Amino acid sequence: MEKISKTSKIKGKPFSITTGKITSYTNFHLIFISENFIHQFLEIFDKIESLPVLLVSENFKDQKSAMINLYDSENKKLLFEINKSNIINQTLTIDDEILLLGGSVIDVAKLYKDSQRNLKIIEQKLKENESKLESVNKMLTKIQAEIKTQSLLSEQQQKTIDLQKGEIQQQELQTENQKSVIQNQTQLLNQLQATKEEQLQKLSFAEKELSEQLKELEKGNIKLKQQQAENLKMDSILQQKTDLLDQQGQTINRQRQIMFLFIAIIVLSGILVTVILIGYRRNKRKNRLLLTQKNHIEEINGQLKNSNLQLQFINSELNNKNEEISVTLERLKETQSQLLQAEKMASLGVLTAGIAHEVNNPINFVYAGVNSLKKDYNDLIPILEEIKKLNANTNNENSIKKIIELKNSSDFIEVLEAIGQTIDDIKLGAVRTAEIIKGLRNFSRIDKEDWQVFDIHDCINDAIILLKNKYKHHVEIIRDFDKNLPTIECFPGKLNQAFVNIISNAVDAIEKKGQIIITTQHNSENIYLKFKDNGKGIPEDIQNKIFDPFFTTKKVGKGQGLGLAITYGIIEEHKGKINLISDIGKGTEFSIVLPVKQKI
Amino acid sequence: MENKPSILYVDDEEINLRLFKLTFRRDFNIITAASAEEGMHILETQKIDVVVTDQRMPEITGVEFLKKINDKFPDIPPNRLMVSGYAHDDDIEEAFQNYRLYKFVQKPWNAENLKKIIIESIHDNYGK
Repeated sequence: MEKISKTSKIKGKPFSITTGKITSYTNFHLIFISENFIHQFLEIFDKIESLPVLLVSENFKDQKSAMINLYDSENKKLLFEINKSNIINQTLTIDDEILLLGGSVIDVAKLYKDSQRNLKIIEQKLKENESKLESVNKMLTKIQAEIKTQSLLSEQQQKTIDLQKGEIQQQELQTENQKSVIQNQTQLLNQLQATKEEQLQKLSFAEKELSEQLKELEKGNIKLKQQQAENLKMDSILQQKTDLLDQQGQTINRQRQIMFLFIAIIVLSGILVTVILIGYRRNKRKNRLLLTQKNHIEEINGQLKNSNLQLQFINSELNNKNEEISVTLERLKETQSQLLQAEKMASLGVLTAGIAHEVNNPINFVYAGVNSLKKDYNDLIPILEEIKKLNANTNNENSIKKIIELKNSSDFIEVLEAIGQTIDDIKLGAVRTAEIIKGLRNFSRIDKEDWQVFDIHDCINDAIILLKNKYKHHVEIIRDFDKNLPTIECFPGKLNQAFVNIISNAVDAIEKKGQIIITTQHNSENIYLKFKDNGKGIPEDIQNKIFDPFFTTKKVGKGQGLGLAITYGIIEEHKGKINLISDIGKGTEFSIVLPVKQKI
Repeated sequence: MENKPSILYVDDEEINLRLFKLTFRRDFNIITAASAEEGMHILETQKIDVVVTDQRMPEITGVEFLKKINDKFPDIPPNRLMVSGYAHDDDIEEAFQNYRLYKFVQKPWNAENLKKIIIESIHDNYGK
């Protein structure tokens, strides 16, 4: 195309052709828009405005907007169509000869007419649509109105339903009231009927009486008639009398009617009176009931007030008593500690009998032994004096002779034997005394004891030593001891006291000869002790009292009844347990469990 | 030996019996018994001037022993002495009242004192 522009001229004038994107429209006289860019035609058409630019399009379908449009034909001949009005609009003129080149003029009028027609059709359609819309709107408004009315209606119906509900409830209430009224009335009616029936019965009774009286009257009438018949034969005076009699019969009839009425009135008034009386009585009764109930309520109120006051009084009393109790408790605690002390002393007192004898016997060994020794020594003194005179340097013949004389004259050998024996006895006496004192030592320190790790076997042995004099003549004590028994944390003195109490009771239970078997066992946590005697046993009814303070079966003065109570307390203090099994005639077994370690 | 008074000592403690005998063998003819029964047997078989007995003994106590002697030999000696470590006052009182108990001596005994009492009782008894 550019080549064409260099070699060709239009009407003797040279022209230039440029291709590509249009930046300014003022430099062109003609713009060719190829089929590829035809979609930009209207945009370019707008841009050129009224500039004298001819737009040539290729295969442009919009004949209304086109100026000159080239289109393909079947015989490859250049064909084009011209829209004159658009060209003129651009202040361009059309050479008519151009049509000879194969152009045709677009019939704009036809186009306008066609478009007008189309417009009309569209307008008509629009109108139709509008009318449809309107009708639809109308329908809608109608429906809305209907909905409103219906909702109003439904609201009203709701209201009426609510009202009806209320009414129904009221009616229900009324019906209930009416029911109760009806019930009352039916009751009344029943009562009335009952009274009616009673009165009817009375009436019928009265009627019967009446009919009987009537019968009698009739009988009287018959007699009268007979007399009348007889009297007919009599004279006129009699006839007059008969007339009078007739009249009298009539009055009797009248009186009979009056009587009838009178009786009816009496019966009715009786009914009325009884009804009124019944009602009156019922009211009176109700009033009386109400009054009595009121009085009763007032009484109860009064009683309540009184009991309230009493409660307050009791409360204050309780408070006072609480205070008293706490004071008493303090005193009791004091007394308890005093009692414990007393029991300790009592135990000591009971033991003293045995201990005094037990201590005095071995001390007697020492005392009498020393006396005996002194005498034996006195017997030996003359011999010893002669021995003293013996001298290595001189002739001791005289002294030796004298010694031999003395030896023969006195029971020298007897004295020597006595001295040896007496020394042994004195030694035994000293050892026994020391043992008893050791046993007593624990007893004397009970109050100030601390927890100690102690061998319970020692505790038991000490208790047995203290009681030796008590049991030695009639009781055999058998120790079945666990050789591996661990030492335990305890108050040895207190446990000693406990064991003395238990063994002492066991000895007391054995009246003639018997045995006490003391068994010890252990596991990892506890040791187990058993004190089993074959004494008289404890009756079942006092087995549960045996640990009670002041419970005793012994004679007055022989025991305070605190021994086992204190024993129980001591075992409890060690977090242990004590139990007993007893059979009358077979014996008693006390079993004790003590923990190896105290979890303090 | 023949002239010495015979003393019967009853005690359940063997050592006491031995010591009694050793202590007083120079002064008296000492016969010992380990129980009241044994003592009764001796009393039946030989002449005894004074009986000395312990109170606390198994089976038969000293007081019971004295009662038995009193029952069996109401009119004749011996005089009776009691030696004990401890005795209830009531029992001893009973023996003083009814069983011709002469003296109560508390253990441990004093040998000289006991000897004096024994001699005293013999004198009282025989009016020597």
